[in-house]
Amino acid sequence: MFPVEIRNVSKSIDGRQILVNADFSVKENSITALIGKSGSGKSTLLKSINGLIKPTSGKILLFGNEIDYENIIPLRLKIGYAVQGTGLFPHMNIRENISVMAKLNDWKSEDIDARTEQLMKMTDLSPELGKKYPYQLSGGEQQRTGLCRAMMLNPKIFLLDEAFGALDVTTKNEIHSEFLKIQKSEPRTILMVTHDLNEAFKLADEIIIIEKGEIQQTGTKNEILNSPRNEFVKYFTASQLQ
Amino acid sequence: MILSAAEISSQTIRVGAKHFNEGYILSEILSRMLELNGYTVERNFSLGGTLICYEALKNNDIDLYPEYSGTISEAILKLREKTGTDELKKKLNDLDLDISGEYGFNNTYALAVKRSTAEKYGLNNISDLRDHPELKIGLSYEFLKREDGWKNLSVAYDLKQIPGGLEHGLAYKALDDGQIMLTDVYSTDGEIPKYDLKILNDDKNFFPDYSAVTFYRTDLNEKIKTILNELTGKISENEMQEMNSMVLFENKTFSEVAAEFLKNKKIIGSSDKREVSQETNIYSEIFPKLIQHLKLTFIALLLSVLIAVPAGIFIYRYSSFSKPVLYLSGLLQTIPSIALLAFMIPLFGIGFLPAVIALFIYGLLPILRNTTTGLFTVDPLLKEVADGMGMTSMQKLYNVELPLAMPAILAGIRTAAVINIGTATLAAFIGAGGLGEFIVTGLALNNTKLILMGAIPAALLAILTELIFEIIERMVSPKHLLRSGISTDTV
Repeated sequence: MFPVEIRNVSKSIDGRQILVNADFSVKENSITALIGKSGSGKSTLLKSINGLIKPTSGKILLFGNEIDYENIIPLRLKIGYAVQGTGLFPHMNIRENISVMAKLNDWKSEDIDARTEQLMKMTDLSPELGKKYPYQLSGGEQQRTGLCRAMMLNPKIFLLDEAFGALDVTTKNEIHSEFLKIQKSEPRTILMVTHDLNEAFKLADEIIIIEKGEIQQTGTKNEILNSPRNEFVKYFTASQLQ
Repeated sequence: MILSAAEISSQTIRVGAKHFNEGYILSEILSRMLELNGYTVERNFSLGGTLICYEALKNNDIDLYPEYSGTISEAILKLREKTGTDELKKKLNDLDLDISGEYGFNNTYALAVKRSTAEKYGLNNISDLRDHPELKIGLSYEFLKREDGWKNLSVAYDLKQIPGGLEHGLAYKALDDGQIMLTDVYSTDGEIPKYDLKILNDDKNFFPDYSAVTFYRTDLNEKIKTILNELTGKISENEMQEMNSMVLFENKTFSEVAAEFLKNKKIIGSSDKREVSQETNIYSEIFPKLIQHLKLTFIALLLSVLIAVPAGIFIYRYSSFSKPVLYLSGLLQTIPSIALLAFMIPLFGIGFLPAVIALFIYGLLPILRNTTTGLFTVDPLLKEVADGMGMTSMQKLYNVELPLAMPAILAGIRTAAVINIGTATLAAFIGAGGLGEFIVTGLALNNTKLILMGAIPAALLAILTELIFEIIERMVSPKHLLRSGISTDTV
């Protein structure tokens, strides 16, 4: 059984086709990158997995069951979600940001503290940052906080929307290696949206290239580099890897 | 009918007064006459203009107040032709109202100019004004609106001047300073000799008769009606002018003047022992009014918050309601405060309750609008993240949306509080008390000290409120917004 199955999913908003017959499955504990230019539909595809966007047609199966939009909250609690740095709540300090969902779901306070500390340690966030507010943190520290928050409830599925965007190269490399380390110690099924092919090659087991709402090719790094399925893929990879 | 002493003393008579000098003096005379006969009197003075007094009488919030026959026929009953007393009484009886015998003076409306102006332009009669369209005219608001006021007068005399409006208490000063050249006066005004004014002759007999009478409810008992009629024929025009002048220029209080009148007329014997007005400390006078003002403002504000914040949340979540609700509360806001207060009387009477309700209505819009605006302007990305993380919509509201909208909501409450403090001064017009009582009485008596006794504490209160809210905002605003002193007022 695949944890995430996308079956013939299409989405149109105001008559505009955003997604056209997307169809793929994600293997358990693998990292899948959705890559494309801005406006290609990659974020829409990601958001349809945690029900933020409801497809116009097609089916999405999570853990073998179709999404029940009437009762989506329990499902979302099993899905971690991290977006670009600004997604942190500005009025909560770092510890509060990381632990908010655990608190709202009645975790015991010692469990909350233990898990928060574990995550901060794992992502190399020093403990004294806990009492600070997002605006007092560097971009890298904010991204790490976002990852911690998404991992707090130990979700089986992890959705990342440009979670490593807007970082300088050095910081990005650091976070990348920490990310892979975490995946080794706490493996989970990860879908990440990025516009950076290098990042996708570095982190993902499988890569999905999207353009104008349609999936152009699904495959590993080697498959994409060695046997591009069409002119777009060829052109896209060439322009990204220059 | 004879009542036992116990029956009499248990009865409280509520006496109203129109808010100008003469109204106060006459009401005080009536009140004292009733008190001397063993009744308890509740003085509801400062009731604003004719409309408010009349509504309060009709609504059984007061039992009586001094009024003028012309005002009753023209402004209240809207009778076009001149009406005899008997016919007037008959029409009033249908409304369960009645009038006493005439006091003896006719306080008619009149147009007055400075004697120097009259000489310069050769003005004797009202019709002489036709030749001087350039004369600058300032009239009391009531005169501008009345049937027997400027509108029909200017038609009757074919006058082309366009008058401005001003508070009657300020008109003489404006006339004296040359800011206006002609105003409406009452023929018994104490200022007429003082400012050396000339009254223009009403050569077309436009103004109706304004004989002063007591206007009362017919459900008063006969004994009281008999007491009221003791004033019949007791006050001449000159005597009234003199009494007005004593309050205005001899620094006597209207209750002193009333007591003196009753003594001179031997209406009371030596039994009145409270003649001398006690000098009271200015702070002990202000303090109770300040407390009353705070009570009015605070209770109204609390109600506004309790209704408008949840309503704001509601129309944020069901946004199809947002336009009609905001339009409606905007509409309520545009009703002039004094009019809104007057509308309250038929529904809630006079006093504290209608004032609180009117202030509550004024508080709604700023809080409602800022609450919805604050919620709508929370970063949509944060709302999406909250959803994506699995927050229920209630969790999202309490943990993300409301805290982030809090500065805007507080700014709305702050605006409502400051508006309320200002508007509450007008609530004195419907007998709600508070600092406005000084201002309203001061305006009526043209007494600057009284006006300032109300205006200065009210202004200080407004400033203090601003400061208190600033502290509250620091306490409850999200920390990240405080870092660079970002203003929260602009939302």
